[in-house]
Amino acid sequence: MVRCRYPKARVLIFLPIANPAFDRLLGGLSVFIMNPSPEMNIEYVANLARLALTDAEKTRFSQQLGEILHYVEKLKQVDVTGVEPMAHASPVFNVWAADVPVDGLSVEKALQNAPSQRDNLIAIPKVME
Amino acid sequence: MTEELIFKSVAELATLLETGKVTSVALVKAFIARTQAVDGRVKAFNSRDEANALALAHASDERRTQGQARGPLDGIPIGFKDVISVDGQPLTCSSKMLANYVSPYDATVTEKLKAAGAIPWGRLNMDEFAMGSSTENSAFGATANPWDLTRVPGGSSGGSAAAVAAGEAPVSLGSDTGGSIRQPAALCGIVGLKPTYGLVSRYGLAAFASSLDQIGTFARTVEDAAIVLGAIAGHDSRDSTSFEIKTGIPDYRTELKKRAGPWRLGVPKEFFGQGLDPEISTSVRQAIDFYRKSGCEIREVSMPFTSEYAVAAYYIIATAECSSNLARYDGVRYGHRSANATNAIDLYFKSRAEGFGEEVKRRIILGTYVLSSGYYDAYYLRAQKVRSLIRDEFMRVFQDCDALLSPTTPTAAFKIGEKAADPLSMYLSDIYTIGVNLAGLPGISIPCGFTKAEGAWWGDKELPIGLQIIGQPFRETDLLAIAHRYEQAHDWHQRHPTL
Repeated sequence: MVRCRYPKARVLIFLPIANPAFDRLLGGLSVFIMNPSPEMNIEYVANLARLALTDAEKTRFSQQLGEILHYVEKLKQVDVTGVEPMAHASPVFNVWAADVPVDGLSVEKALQNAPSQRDNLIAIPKVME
Repeated sequence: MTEELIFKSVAELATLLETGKVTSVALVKAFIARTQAVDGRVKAFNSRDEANALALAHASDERRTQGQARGPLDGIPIGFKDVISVDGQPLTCSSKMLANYVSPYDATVTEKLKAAGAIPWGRLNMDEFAMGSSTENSAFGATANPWDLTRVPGGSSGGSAAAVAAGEAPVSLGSDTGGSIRQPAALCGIVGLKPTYGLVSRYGLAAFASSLDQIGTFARTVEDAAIVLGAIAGHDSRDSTSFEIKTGIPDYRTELKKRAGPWRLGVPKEFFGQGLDPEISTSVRQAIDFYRKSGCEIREVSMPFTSEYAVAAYYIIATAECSSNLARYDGVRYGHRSANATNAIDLYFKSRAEGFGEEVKRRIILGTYVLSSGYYDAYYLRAQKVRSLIRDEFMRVFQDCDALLSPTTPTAAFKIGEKAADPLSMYLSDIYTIGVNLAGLPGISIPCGFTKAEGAWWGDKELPIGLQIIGQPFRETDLLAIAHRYEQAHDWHQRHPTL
């Protein structure tokens, strides 16, 4: 199994320690702080992505993503000094829509795919206790 | 009659319709019958609305009777990759997340094709959210390659390619983020065109990686691809990356026949290196020889940067954009909502865990990681800079070349399941197509031969091989003319799988 190392990992470790509220927000991070690992911390990343993973997925993804990250390490060989990053390939910039009102979706159409609705609103579980 | 119709080109079908030799209703019925006969084995379709297609065919026949036919696509059925919105029809992206989603509006390409009289015919299977190269990553099961049902049709637009190859639709739409039109076209022995980024509106296309995604077309012939491109290209204010060509959209169909070359064609030597199947190398080199003999100037060019770094840069940029784009699937406004969530935050975690398949989760994790604090500069920003260098390399070779010739894929269609457990080897199957998306260029794959079925007694079958032609930005007319020149002198496109 190929694993790769992340020299910048320390930056990530110190950031939340300085900010307890942020730490609470990212529950999975505590594992990372107690057990700094040279590998991708899959629980921390899954938490950022709001994605629940099974233990089997965590194990499998860690290994597969380790191999993929090892492969993309080759980008570090490239001298990118002075190179502008390219966000997209279209030669258009700062596109503004004309300030003209247009019809949007009707209430009926906007709600037709809502998993749950009540009184023309999308219903979700309680947010506040 | 059915057998005669299902493998005809759109240009031929349009003539039959114009001269009254066939009606749109008869045509649609022929494709319905063919689909019912073979799709149980090919599994190209996620859903289809036969009643709706027949109603639109009736309307087309009515128009024609009244002398109001709208052009070559009027009355022609066209398949849609299940990632492009058709008002009132399902849009699943082959994901459990959108299993019950119904489009509340038309994509711009759908509007344009309907206005041209074309008939949306079914929604075609794909890798979930267009992430994959084999159409195995579909929540609704894999699509088979019509040339050999034990093999993949390629992906992510595998259903769109298989449907055309199997005679279930005369043309279809797909989307191409890293090769998702050209690679399945090559593996299924048909034409696949990915236009320049910005030429075709992406409004109504479910986003995977927005800076790379482009809608394009599958067809039996280059002329058919030109007909469909002419109908869907053009500026759209609803897509802020849409580009307005000041001179207007060319009449691709007419222009491609007017241009006879000769062209200066570059052959990137690194695209013929290690990993390329010898039979594919031979077929593509024969195609290059054809161009040389027809008076084109063939130049060997070197693109070390693209061949070495494109896949790595792509999988950082594409996964970063996918992790951002797919954040919208949170179980709140539409899509799958978990029944087991205990609170609003838990709803996100569980809805996404239940709704997304394995490859999508893997890419969301990777994309989230490369964008996360502390890693952004090392991965994402660096990949964007490498992307600039890759585009520069293409632009440098285009100073001396009108277009580039290469294989579309390193191997012919592989077995279903062969690469499923090894994501990296699957990613590397896009090695020749990915640079084109990073640079935003147009590319086309056309059939240029078949592998030999040496083990025919063992069940081996001849498999199609694709020639990729890469063009300069917004110069689709030249790209199509170059492809058309080869097609006119060969008959690969007239061979069809036996099903």
